[in-house]
Amino acid sequence: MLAAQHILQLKGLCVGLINETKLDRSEEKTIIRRVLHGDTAAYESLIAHYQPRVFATARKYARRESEVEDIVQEIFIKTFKKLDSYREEAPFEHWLMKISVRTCYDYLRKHQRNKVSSFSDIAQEDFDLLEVYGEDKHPTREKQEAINKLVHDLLERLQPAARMVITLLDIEGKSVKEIAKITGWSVSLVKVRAFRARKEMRKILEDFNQEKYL
Amino acid sequence: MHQRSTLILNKMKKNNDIFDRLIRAARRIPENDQTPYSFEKRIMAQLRDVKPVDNVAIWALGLWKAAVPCVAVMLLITTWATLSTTTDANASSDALASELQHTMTQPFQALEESW
Repeated sequence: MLAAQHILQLKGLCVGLINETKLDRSEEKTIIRRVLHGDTAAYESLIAHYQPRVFATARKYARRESEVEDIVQEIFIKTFKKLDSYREEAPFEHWLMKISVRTCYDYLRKHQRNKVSSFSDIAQEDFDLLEVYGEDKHPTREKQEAINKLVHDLLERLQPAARMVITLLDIEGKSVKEIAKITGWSVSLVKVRAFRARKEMRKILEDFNQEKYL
Repeated sequence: MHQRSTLILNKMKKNNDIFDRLIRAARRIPENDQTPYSFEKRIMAQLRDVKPVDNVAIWALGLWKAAVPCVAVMLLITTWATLSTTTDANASSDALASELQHTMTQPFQALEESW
């Protein structure tokens, strides 16, 4: 009985927290105008509302939590600085995501760690897991975690542009046009980069396979 | 030859297959949208030091930076002009004097002709 009460209380608290950060478009516009008129404190509600989305995006490109936090912080500061250039015709979320992805790309370019030529940090068993991936419909938590780590390890070896394209196009399933809008690249450049990225990824996988049998 | 091409094709097929599996695995990684406690407060604290972008200030700064090379160019041209006039001055002083006289008296000559 007591436990049930606690659960109900917690549930209420969670709903309260969710409602606190929920914003509709007109509220959002009002907040943006207030910020533009000098009420900096109003920006906090925008951060509270959008930070889960921005954190999820940043975690696709950075692994260490301290790095993720730095990226998110940079994104929100950049957004604040550029807020006067936001045109209200498009949703604020789209504009924010554009800034987020571009900031993540800048981060990847600054911290290129994909120059590693050896595959010593990738466990053979984990790679074998990938070779049979999909055959096991319900993998254990450990297996899934190992695969997640492997995916991150392999993606880290790609060039920044290649990683960006593979993440947006193949993993997130965005269209070429959408990617062009988000990144600011032309449609043909996205296509070229996608082709090169897939080729680069296949080469990495091939190299790993060759090293495996040496 | 045929055997070699089959081998290459099989290898390519295998690589494509692993690539597809990798993408499928990556798609299944759940989004982690957890946020650290009071993260927005941290950003707000940072924002207190951030000043909004002032376009007038940017222009003023740009113009101020451009002023120094402009003054330098002006001084160079002035020096060059002064030096060139002093060297040519002696040689062409007579010609200049007659030209000046001609220019000054030109209107009066024209008047005389019209009378």
